[in-house]
Amino acid sequence: MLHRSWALFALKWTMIRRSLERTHYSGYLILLVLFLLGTLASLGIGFLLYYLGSLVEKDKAFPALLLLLDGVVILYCFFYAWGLLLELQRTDLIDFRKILLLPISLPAVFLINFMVSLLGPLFLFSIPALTGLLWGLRPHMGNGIFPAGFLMALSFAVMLGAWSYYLRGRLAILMEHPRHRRLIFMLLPIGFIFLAQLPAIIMQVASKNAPGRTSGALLSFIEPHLISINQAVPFLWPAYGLWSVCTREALWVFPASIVAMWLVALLGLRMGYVTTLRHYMGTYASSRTAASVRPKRKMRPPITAKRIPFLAEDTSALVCGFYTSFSRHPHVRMLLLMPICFGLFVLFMHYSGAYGNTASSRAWIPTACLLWPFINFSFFMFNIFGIDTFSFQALQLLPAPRYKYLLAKNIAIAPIVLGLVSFFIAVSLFLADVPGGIILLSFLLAIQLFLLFSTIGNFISIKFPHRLHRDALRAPGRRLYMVINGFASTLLSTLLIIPALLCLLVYRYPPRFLTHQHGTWGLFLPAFLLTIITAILYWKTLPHAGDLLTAEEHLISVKLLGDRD
Amino acid sequence: MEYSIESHGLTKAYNGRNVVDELCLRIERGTFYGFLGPNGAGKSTTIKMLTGIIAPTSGSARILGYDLKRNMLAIKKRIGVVPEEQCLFENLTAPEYLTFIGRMYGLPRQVALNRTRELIEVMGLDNAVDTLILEFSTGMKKRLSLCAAMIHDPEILFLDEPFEGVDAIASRTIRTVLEQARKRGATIFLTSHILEVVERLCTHVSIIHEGKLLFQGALEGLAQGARLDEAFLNLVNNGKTAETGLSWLGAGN
Repeated sequence: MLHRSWALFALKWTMIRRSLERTHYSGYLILLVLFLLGTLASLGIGFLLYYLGSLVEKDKAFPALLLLLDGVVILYCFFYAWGLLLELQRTDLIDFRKILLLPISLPAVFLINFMVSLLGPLFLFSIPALTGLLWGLRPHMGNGIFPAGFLMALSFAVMLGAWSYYLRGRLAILMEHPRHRRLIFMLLPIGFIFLAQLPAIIMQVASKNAPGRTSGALLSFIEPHLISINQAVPFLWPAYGLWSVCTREALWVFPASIVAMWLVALLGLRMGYVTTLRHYMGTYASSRTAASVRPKRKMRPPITAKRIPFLAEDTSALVCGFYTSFSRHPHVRMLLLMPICFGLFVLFMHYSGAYGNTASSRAWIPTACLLWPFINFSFFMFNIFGIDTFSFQALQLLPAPRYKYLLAKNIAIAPIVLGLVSFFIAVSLFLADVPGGIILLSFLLAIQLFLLFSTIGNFISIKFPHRLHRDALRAPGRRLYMVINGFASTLLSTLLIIPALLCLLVYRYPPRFLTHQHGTWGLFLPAFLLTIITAILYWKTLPHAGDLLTAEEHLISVKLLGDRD
Repeated sequence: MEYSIESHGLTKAYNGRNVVDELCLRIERGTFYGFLGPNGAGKSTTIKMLTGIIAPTSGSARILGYDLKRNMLAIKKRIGVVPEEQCLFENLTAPEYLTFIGRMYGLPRQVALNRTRELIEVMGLDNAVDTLILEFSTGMKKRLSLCAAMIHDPEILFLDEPFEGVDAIASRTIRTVLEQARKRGATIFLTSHILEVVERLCTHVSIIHEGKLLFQGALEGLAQGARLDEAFLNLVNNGKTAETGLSWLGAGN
């Protein structure tokens, strides 16, 4: 047994070492920076929690203390869930499938994998934060708060880890089917975004219902429900248990919480193990073969047979193919669904009066609506071959002039980006009494921005192509690269929108010479000229970009297909 | 003699190592050509160079009389390729993909649609017309790749391991279709590890090992009455037969 455990440990260590060896030195540098930032953030949160903890007075501890503890737990859960989302497709360090044939204790492997999943960066970074909170509570609650707090935190981490491990296993089974996987990748981020907005909604509802709307009134409104919620929701048990120690009311709650959390953790682990084992033993029917058993259907004329007016036959086919492929990518669908969810949230907050009603803040709504789609989609517009990487070799084999690929890619993304701009502007019209001039200007600038992003994006896509995951917005095995890329894309997008912003500013704060000579229409002149110049720039650079693509397509192919999923 | 594929000193180097080394091929029109070699011999790299997916480090090639470097688009109009990796538009369905490919080769839309229907039916993909390519099995993707390579009736078909992951029924269909194409005058350039298939289909073969061409000519010239696998092993192993066996199973006793 001992030598088998040693072999597993050696295997695990070799795998970690190999993954580190593959990392570029710049990756280590970024990791170091991220680690330092994480440590700083953790220390900052630690000091904040120390301050908040020291504010809590023992005799007035309820409900402020319980609310504080609940907040800490929810914050930890949020970061944990976010980490879980990022790690969703990470395979276990020791893959069950590969060792199923060996005479090794499967529960031992399962436990090793679970322990590894538990010791993430969040676990480390939460230690200073927790210490700060407990240090802040110490003057009122005594030294006993430290062992109680750490024991509670450990129990909670194990419980959360066990259930998230089980959930990850379940999701992994679901994601065996490509369509289910895509649905999960699409819905999960939306779910998390909604969850992130939930506290704001709750606080808004509470503040609306609390008489007087002061913080004291708000607390007294929440108070009757707080204990019941803490008792009913297992993830709030640590807060409830620690609160019982601090207030010395119902002290039995503390050991009961600890025992309950460990029992729940064991149940989660047991269920996780059984699910994993059943999955790998083939108990769950695989849906991968579903494609081959469907009844035969009559073929309808596909979307790629459509003709687009004013475009050549091959460009039409390219646009149809690219548009269909692009619009089916789960992340694009998520980006399209998100504004609807976010729009509902904004509408709710707007009607509940959360945003105030000042005309000056409303006047900026169309600007935000204009820019948001471009910031969101810049990642795709700057990497037009990365989203459907495996098709690039198919494109290489086709006998079409390469500039047509760029043109078709740009046209294919236009209905999505410009459609979103239109949708946002329509919503902003509904929300605020926006003048017609601003709407007209926004549409004009949307076209300018689209042409500018396409012009720059074409060259960036050729010079810096990178493969995106087929189901999500990330490059397989290159998380740090994606972080840098995200920053760079956002920075470049910010630079590219400056001319459009200037045009909006000119409209809002008109210089006298424009209105003097051309009346109100003079305010549109800068935007109109800018759009014309950008259109000429796009048209003139397109053949050059096509030539560059022809020259670099072998290199792009190597970069995109270098390593597969 | 007019060759459909002709290369002179075609070389591809990665990190200073020649993966394909001074390759000189001469393939006549209408030939069913088997390009054989062990794993890592340089077969796929050769196909990638001849089809314009990767650029050669040195050397030249002519496909259907066109220079590979200067007339790449003209060549691509006349060839069909089934690459080693299945590089397809994964977010499209098979009919969408084939119609798209057909139109890209300049087929009128109705012709592209008709050929798509026929190819899908013949290749047994008609039970998956609404399925995204993403969900296809390896064999289905291989068959779809072949459909895409054939939709424009090419003069040369480059096939990199077309029978890999394909079941016996589909394999039979593919062989029939390839035979039909050859009878119409197409040249078929095929790599395969399944030597029985090569023996049954190919008229000419060449053998590449560690990037170098060891043999090129008619199949009979290589086999000389022996089985193809024996001739292949003799050539690749330089006549040496490896002494194999495991000590605990009694080898060497």
